Amino acid sequence: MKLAFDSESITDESTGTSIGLRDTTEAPTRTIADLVQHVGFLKNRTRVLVADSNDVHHSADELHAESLDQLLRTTTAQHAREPLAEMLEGLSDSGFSWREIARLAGVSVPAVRKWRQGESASGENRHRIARVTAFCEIVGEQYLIDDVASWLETPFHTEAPVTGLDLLTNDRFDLAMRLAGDDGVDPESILEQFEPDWRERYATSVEVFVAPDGQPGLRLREGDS
Amino acid sequence: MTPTGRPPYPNAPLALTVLEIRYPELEEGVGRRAQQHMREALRGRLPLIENIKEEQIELAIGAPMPASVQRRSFPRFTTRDRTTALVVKEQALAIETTEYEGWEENFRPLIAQVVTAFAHISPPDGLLRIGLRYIDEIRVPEIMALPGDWRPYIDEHLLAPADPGFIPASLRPTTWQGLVQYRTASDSTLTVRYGPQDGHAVNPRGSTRRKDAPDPGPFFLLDSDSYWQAGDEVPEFDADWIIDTCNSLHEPTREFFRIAATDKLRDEVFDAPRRHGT
Amino acid sequence: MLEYPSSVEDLYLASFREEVEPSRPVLTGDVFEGVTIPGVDERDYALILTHPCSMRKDGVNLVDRLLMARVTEAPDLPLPDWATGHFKVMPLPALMGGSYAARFAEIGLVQSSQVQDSRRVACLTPFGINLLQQRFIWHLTRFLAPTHRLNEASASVFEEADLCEEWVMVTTEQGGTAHQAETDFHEWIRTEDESGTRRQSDLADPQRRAGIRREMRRHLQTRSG
Repeated sequence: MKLAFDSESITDESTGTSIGLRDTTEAPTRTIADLVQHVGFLKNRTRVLVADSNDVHHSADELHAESLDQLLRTTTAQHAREPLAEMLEGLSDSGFSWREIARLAGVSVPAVRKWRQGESASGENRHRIARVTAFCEIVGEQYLIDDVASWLETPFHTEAPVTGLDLLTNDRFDLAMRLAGDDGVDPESILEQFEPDWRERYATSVEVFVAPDGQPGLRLREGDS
Repeated sequence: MTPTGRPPYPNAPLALTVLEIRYPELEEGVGRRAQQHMREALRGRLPLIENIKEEQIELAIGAPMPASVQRRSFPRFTTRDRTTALVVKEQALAIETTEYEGWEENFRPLIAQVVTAFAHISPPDGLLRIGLRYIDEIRVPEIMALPGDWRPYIDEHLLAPADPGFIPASLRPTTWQGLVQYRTASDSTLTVRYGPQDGHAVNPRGSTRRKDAPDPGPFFLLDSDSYWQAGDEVPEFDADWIIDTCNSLHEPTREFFRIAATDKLRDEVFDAPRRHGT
Repeated sequence: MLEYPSSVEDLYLASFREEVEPSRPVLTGDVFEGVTIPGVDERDYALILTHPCSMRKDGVNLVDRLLMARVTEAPDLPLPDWATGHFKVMPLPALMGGSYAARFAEIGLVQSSQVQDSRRVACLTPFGINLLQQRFIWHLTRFLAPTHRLNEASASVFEEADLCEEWVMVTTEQGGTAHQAETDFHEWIRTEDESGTRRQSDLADPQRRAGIRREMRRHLQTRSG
């Protein structure tokens, strides 16, 4: 579990000093996220180097985004050479529903059914499936997201039903990649870029609750009725 | 966390509990056979296993040298609801949970099961450090913005930097973090980081799942880290000794939590019905 | 005001009878042909209004009667117009290649045996069903229920329908009967998994759905040997 703060985040850059101040406290007991290193650590490391070095022309953020974009393109191209049925089975094995796969491909569920029965897909649709397959592979391996399908299906902000699947369906692989890879990213900033009017759209005094028969129901939130 | 280590509080503030054990490097890491044996031994508690791949990239900025990449893999065991996880690496293992259900009832038995299996299957050459960490996010409904007036809820001694009796009116605290270390035994320490924070201390979207994570907002952090560290001698990796040490490490964290929280906090917040994230 | 789809394709899992997957369980929003609605008129298209949670008496068999609305041809409406008018209907554009609407003022209880003997010609997506419910609730009560809350309340039923469809399809391809397959699925989905939670309950949690799908697919593969 990654801790969302560290002692550096509480202060702005401190005033420089000629005295080398030393933190004498012992490093804390590490969480699993502390133990597990991932590609993003490179970004953190180069951020420090950028502050010190005049030789680096790009910020680590830009380099990171560019390299991921390139990685997505090259991995997509690799997968696009696979049989369509194989890519579809791969997504199914990951846990996606056929309805979601159709949505990600931008086609109807019957169309996907026909693909599974051997009909061919257009080049554009194949590319879309390959791109989704590539995305899932990258976030699973690079960012150590254990269950990509679950991650994509789960709303990433508590106040809006928007999921990573929604980002991908609307071709915002860039935002989904940022969401996957950056522990410090604020989901709200992703939401703002994806749906600037999300607050108005999803503001409601209606909530879901469990009725006495054990089934869900809707009601006005307490205090709003 | 609770005074008795039991979970009587329906609205406990504990966000994450971690046990980390560090040891001399396992030369081959945890091999596949050892992973399988561990899986069998832990199947009842941690039935899921994933292989985590790690890449370490070394860059030299400004020098015409190629980047070097080291690739490793190690197992991660989890419960089906992913609220509890164990990771075993070549120099340390960590058990963490977001659903702490008591020291004696749940977490200590899990520790015992893990270290006993590990000692039997792939014992390291010794022990370097054992750390037990509790991270509490104490949230009070009435406090909706930082810094907040925590005086009714947190012992005043932890609020000194913002005490109006201490701070001149020209200085308005926005946030602070205190850090104190206590010697609890000749080779053990309790470090507590505390203070008002915003958002979350424990990532609600981390790989160890937080059920019903609260909405982001102001909270008072109590991050209690109780650890033993090897001195001149490095003891053997002995499961019974580790479990006894963990028991000893648990006591000071429990005590600090007890004195940090006021009765009002216990009665009106911890004992209130559990609030769910929206 | 009321919501509307950004494209017509968002409404349907199947909009032609040939596209309807026979293994899909009967669900809210399904359109059938040749249905007589008592008190309305004789044999024509009709759409199921009964709530997804209220359709079955034992999880498998339909309740004795289903609430249905007459579906007739209707003028094609610009999508944004759905928001501000035509509150007595649920527009069904591109249904069977034409433009139709379900009429909330022409409803009645139909014997489910008649429904099962009729031909299904269309199925709605979850979003389509949510829109239908929103409009019907508005028609009955002038209460505006947001579709994302309606979805939250019914999502587990939608997921269960998808899983059941897949289970029945695989089983019938292997020679089993649809009814037995539905019964077997129902038994499986109500069983507890190793963690002690009912799989059906897990479907309510978006983080758990992919895991249930994977588990079901493995189970079907193992069962087929």
